[in-house]
Amino acid sequence: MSSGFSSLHPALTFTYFVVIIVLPMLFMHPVYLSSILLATVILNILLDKGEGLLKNIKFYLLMAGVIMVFNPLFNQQGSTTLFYFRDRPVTLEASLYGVLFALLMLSILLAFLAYTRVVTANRFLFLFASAAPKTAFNITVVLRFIPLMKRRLQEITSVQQAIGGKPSKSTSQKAREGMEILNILVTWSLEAALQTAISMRARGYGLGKRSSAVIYPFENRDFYWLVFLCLTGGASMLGAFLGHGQYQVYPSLGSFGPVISWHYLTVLLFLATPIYIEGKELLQWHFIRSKI
Amino acid sequence: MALYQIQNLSFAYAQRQENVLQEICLQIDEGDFLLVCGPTGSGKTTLLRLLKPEVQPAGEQSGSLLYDGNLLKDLEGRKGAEEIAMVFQSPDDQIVMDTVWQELAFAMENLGYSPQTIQRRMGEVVNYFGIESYLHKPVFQLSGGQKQLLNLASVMMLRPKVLLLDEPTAQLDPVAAREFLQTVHRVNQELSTTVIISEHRLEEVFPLVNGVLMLSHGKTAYQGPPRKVIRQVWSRQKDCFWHYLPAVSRLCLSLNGNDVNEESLPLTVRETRVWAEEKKLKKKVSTPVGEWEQKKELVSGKTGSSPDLLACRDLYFQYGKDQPLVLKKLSLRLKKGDFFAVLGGNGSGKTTLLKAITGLIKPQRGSVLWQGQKLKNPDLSEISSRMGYLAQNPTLYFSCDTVEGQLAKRAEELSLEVKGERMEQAIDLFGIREILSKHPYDISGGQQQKVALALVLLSDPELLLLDEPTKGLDPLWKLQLAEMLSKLLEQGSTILMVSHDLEFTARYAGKCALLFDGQIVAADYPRNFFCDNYFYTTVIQRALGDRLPGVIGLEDVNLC
Repeated sequence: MSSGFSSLHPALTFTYFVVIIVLPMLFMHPVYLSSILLATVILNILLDKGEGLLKNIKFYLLMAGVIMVFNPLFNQQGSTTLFYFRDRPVTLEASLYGVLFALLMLSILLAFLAYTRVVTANRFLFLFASAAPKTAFNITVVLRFIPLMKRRLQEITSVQQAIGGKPSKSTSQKAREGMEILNILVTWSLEAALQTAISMRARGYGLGKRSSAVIYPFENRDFYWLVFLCLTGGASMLGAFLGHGQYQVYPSLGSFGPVISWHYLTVLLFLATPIYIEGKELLQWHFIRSKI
Repeated sequence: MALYQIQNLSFAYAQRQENVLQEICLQIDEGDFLLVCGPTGSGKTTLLRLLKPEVQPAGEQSGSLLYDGNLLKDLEGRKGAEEIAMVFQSPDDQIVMDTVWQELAFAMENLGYSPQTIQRRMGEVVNYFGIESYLHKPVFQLSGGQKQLLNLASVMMLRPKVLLLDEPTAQLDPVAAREFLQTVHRVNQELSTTVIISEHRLEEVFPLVNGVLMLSHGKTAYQGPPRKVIRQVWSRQKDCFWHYLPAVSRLCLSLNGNDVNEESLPLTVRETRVWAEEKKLKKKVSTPVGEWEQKKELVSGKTGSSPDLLACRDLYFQYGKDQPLVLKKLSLRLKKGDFFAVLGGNGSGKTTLLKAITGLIKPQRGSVLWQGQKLKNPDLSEISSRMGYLAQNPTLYFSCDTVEGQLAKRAEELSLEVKGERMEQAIDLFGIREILSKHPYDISGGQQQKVALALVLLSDPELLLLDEPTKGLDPLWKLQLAEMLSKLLEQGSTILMVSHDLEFTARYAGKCALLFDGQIVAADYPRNFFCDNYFYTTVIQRALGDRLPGVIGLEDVNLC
């Protein structure tokens, strides 16, 4: 997981994702939002062959569907009435707004999905470790604890189920059993944590200032890409405040106007950066393989 | 120059009267490999922890404890952390970080080393211990053996002078344990790191060490080079430490102890074979061959007309669509009153098999038959009322403050009519009366296991399933466990055990089978099973199998 876009310095990738998660909230324009969504879809596919996307796609589509259906049902703004549903007008504007809002949510979620792939906990911690090494360490330990507890809980549950001899249970018995399992989990975890603490002290924890072994060198290419991302990303956001990327929905749909502008191109450049880096690498590999 | 000089060291825990350690005198030189052994509760762990300032237990300490010529308590914190390393028993609980890489860096990060130094040392250590292949993996994906090796590598990052190991292989299977001990041996030989280890797996440790300290109730029972200690133990026959000695040494001593001098006392299979060659052992010993031959016909004959208590027919199981098959066309038959042991390496599917039988998991194909009836769509409570499952980790059963409370609670859950009577029975059977008022976490591993077994047996299951019951037990506890199991068998229970423990299986099981590649590849009586095996068999059989056919354990040879 350290090729292509992920191999850039964590500061860059982190910046990129902050901007791409903020951008959809700034634009209310079908073309802009569709472009962002398309970019995040492509990025996800390039990152893990769409694995994460496929795994969650049902949830995403369901959520988008709910927004698209419910917005026009509950929002009666807009001047063009399409039809009446239970004596309430369903307007064209509200329907379109629902679509736009669904696009926005999807882009943010997909961007976040890609974020977890690229900016791993390690990289995130590295960014903040130099400022607060102790906090960073605590976060690592806590992050590890959640799946650890989950695995322990599974183990206890299966053992308790198999101990044997238990007759069929009523609901209150089941609830009591759940409490008991939780009780075992807590006792076990406390006991284990005591051991962990001893092992930490044995290895000199708390003796002095901690250092961090993680290093991500800031290379030349990181610098170039940083400049590029800052320029395009900054311009995209600035443009949004100057009124670009807005489309009038209420009270009635506005005119589309010229879509291709300097601002839209800048946004596209920004969006395409990781796709370009990932795609280049993919082509390289493909090229090498076909040569062989 | 002596690294540790210990004079008349005594220790009592805070707010306790009795001494855990009494008058220990010990000198440990640089490069020594010292084995500390003794029954559970003899003070091994306490002694080891006293040797490292950061992990010393709170309590009253008397006598002198010098490290490197100075008092240990004056040792500077940083020096203590760097020079004295310790690996503990549980592979899981001592790991702090999420990935192998982070865990390796942890100790050096604590001491504020620069990233460059850490990376360099990590490069060395990773190569030395051979952990490249899983360097970036999350820790939970590792096997127990890999975790313990990681714990060793992680403390070796600081380049310690002393390595303290507190029962490091107790939770490992024999193959992983051997690998771990060989690595420790390599560290000792190649880097001259002083090693002090407490262990129950003495068969493999005795040949590696140059000093042995045997503790009994906190006092030194025996002390000296391994062969000398073995001679001493033998000369005081019937000592409980007899069971702690390597099987081959015991064999040699009990055959002609008076003739064996210290130097020629065998500790390994190879040495035993040399010794047997010299003694022309063949003619002297009578072996129970006749009985063995008879049994062979019993098991292979398909005439067994008595109905099976439990049968597994062509079980197939995989944990996920793309996962490998864990069970492949596995078939198994269990008669009432059997003590059946399933042997197999790590990850061979032993635990999965037990889970399939109890209905915790559902095999993709195949069926489990209970007294000839198919258990289709297993209703868990229906099956489990007839089976009792003892998991590897006994602490998973404990939720009360006292052992007695735990037993009472279980009896209540089962709505037993003769609650008090059954509890009394169990308490007597397992001999746990004196620990009834203690917290289940405060008793030893062996005691925990007894209590867990008592809990399982309160429901009076027809079939008892044991998952690695001898794991982490010392030799004396194993004897006790065997005694309890034989009592249960007398009472008409049926036992199915999965285990790594070849010696225990060879001695006590009624039938055994090898689980390999998802199926049972050999099922037989232990004597046939172990005599036919070449690698996967007991130490005695490997040493003398060709000279004394049919001999798989010590008790077979004692006949003469």
